[in-house]
Amino acid sequence: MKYILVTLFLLISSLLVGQRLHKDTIEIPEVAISAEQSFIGSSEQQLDSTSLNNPVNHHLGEVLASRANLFMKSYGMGSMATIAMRGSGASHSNIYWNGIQLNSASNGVVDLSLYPKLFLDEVQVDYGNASLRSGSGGLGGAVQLNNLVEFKKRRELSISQDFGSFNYRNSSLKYSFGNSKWQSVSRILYRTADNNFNYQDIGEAGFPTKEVKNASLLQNSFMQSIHFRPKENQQLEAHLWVYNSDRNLPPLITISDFRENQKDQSIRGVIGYKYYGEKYQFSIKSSMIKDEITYTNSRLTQASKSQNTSFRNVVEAEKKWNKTSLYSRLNLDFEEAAQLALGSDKVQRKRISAFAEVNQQWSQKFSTSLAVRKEIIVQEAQYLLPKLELKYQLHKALLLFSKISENIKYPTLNDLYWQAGGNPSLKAEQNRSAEVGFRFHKLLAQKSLDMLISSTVYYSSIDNYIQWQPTALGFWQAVNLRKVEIKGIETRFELKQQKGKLKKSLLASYTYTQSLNKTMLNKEDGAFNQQLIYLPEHQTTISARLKYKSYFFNYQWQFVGARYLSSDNSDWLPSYQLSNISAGRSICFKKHQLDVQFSVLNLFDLEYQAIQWRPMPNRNYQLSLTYHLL
Amino acid sequence: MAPYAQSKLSVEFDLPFTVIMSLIKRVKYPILLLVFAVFFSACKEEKDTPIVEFDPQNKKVFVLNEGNFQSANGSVSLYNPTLNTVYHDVFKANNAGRPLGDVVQSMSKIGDNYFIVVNNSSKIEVVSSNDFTSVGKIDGLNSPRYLLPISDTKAYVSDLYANEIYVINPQTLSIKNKLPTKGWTEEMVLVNSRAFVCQVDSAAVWVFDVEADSLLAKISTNLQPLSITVDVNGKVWVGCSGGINKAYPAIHRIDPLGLKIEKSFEVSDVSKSIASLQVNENGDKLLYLMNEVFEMDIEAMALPTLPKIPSNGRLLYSLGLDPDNGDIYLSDAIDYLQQGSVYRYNKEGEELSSFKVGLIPGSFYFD
Repeated sequence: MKYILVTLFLLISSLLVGQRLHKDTIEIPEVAISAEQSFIGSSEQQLDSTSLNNPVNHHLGEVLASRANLFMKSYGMGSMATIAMRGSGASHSNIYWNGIQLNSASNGVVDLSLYPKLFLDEVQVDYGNASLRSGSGGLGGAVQLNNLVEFKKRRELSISQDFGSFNYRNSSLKYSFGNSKWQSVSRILYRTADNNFNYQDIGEAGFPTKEVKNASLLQNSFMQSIHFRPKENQQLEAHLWVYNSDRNLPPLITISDFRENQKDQSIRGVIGYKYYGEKYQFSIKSSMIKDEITYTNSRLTQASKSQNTSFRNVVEAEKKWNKTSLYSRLNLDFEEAAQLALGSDKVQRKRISAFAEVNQQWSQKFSTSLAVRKEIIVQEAQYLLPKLELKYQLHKALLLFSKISENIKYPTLNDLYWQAGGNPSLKAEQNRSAEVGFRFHKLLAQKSLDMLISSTVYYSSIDNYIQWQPTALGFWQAVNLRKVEIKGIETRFELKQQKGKLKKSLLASYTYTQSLNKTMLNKEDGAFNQQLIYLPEHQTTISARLKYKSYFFNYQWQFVGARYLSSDNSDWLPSYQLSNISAGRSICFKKHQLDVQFSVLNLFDLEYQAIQWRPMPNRNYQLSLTYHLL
Repeated sequence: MAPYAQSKLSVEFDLPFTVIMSLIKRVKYPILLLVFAVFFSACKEEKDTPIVEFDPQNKKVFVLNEGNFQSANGSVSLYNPTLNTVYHDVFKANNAGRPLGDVVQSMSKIGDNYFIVVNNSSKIEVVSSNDFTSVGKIDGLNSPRYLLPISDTKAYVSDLYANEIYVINPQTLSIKNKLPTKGWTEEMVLVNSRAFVCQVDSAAVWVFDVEADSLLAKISTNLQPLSITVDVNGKVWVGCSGGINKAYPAIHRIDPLGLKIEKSFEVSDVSKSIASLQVNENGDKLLYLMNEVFEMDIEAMALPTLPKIPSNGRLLYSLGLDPDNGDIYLSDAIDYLQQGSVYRYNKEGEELSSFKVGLIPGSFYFD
């Protein structure tokens, strides 16, 4: 049945042609010096194209880690990467692709190492309950990945080839063509790597230097987007994304001969229609996502297979009056998971979620936004989640904002039904949060200098925090174990300047996260009032870029503070700082352009661990060639 | 040129803004980076573990801390009951900072060496009993669980996935032979040259002749026989957990000569589970964990109904009995992500002391 649907979908998507309406441009200049931007929201961050286009960031996780106020947890080169936002867990960050949620219904997690930046035109980070607009469950926030096109007559080709240390080879092709009525964008990626870097084996006497074994990967992926604009105010769009990944998972330092392999296969499709008038907008989207993970290791005789299929549908409508606007959104989701440990039958779940938001401009300076989300897990539970936001434009360049909200994260299918250990009586994780912040944006020096400073201070609590823990019976069980209290600061600073042919930019961020456990299990519990594990308190990123004529130079620096390994904070991994540098040149000849970039990653050859006993690569190099036919 | 003066900033923003701008203007980017770098380098660094001195005269209670699966943070804690002192992660301390691995399952002694079975790291680390320094290790195992010493040159090793028991030579640290089994094998005891092996997946105790390395008998039990012990009369006792909400937990007594079950005691509650069945120092009483600590005379006609030591809100994870004086050691792994606690009681069940150990204290070894 599913395959019929897939075929049907392929057929429909190949027939449909369309376009995206409200954001028709993707070519963001490297130093965006434009008129004062209006603020869609106060806790959203649009990632600039510089970090998105930098070939040293191999996947979305690395893109986000280099720019956003969040923590990326990586199990090693090419291995799984997840993000934690606002002191919460990996399953508390919702990931949306063209408005459709990608989180696995089984475990709630998205492995960002499977998202090469080639497939993303725009990345937006919604911090905290700013994610409530798209759906519930994003207690830490949400990341929106969008595919955009520009409606113009064009035929553009770009071919990239990256050569990196440890046999990293990444080939990609992007071909876009179309006119003012319709557009087609095709993307193909092929990537292989051995990831066989050297590390010091501290699990072996004498600490010999060894090469990482069993870490090779092969990934290929294809995406086709078609956009069609039958009239100026209507568009149809269809996206199909097929992904194949075959990875050997590198072992822990202490078990060098253990071999694990994971195959990820996915097919994702979205079709959508959008109407937008001057005062009224409407859109409808329908999607099918099918993910399959096959895991094997050298000890098990049988592979473990996990399949997730979801059909997600979104209807959005927005109406504007003079000083009031109303936004509403309806999500209808069908989720299905099949895995031996979930029983012989497939586990299914239906969710209905409705959201309404009233925005009111009370005066020139003061506006409010009041929203409510109704979340229904069919035949299981329902919730009402409010959000109130106040904005005050103190000065033309300075916006102050404040927000209070409630959110829930309903347990995943594994949490509820995994055998053994799934717990059908689990309660949803309950979140309350409040934040205040400012955003200062100013163009200076005759608009040649663009400066942005933003900072948010938040307080948030998660009740019924779900944690898997072993039982005396020898299996793990999901339990509503803890109450967690989180306080934090997110600060971003951007400075972009253009003087003649010299462009400079400096982007920096600082993230402070205090995520404390507030439950005492018994009098011996040393975890009370201690930081949750694998959440650094301090993080900083800086990225500096210089461009002179066709030459450019990039410096990326990242500081990740100590991460606790035990809940009583008695053990930790030390902080580390990483630097990457790149230099390159664009060579243009008529309609041809060749970009050459050479990069040194982990410049100071730091030996470090992001996760305990998982080695990370030492200094390594990358040469990237990109050819554009314009 | 003073570009900032030209911008039409309102008065209240002039001051902070000018400060920031002049900073940026004067302090060049690389120096700014350096300032950040220095600011953050003063953070938490790695801990040092001093070497632990071993006194051969002292009584030693080893607590084997499993550690988290796939995290290589298992450890061995050393407790001295006379002085009431604890040393953490003795292996790492006395082996130049080398981690032990995970999951630290069990420990045995053959001759002058301790054999530490590290399940998920697929190895047995062998250390000297004089100073806990490494003597070598046995590799090539799948998921080893327990080691049964048979002689100076022979021991059996049970395994979670291998479908075999490894016959190893503890002197050469090599695998001599493999005996086929069916799935998960767990605790083992030796009685009259016969090894009684908990064959968990087949709900049976398999009996091997350790001289010929041949299978003698398969004795069916209740679901999941996990722990096994021998009483003062040489009778073999098996504790079955009953699986997870599947079957009744049970204790069986096996006649080691007739190779048959002589007695069975069942708990008619599938939600319960029996673990850590052991005999006391005289071999005339059985102790086990069923959320709480229960004690039963080997001649008793029924299982006890009241616990010897109640759990008192603790999630009791393992039980150890001092073979010299009958002291009872109980562990609580708390949330399984922090240093666990061990409670020590005398054989009357009075609490003597408690102390902190490593992550997930799963078993004890007394020497």
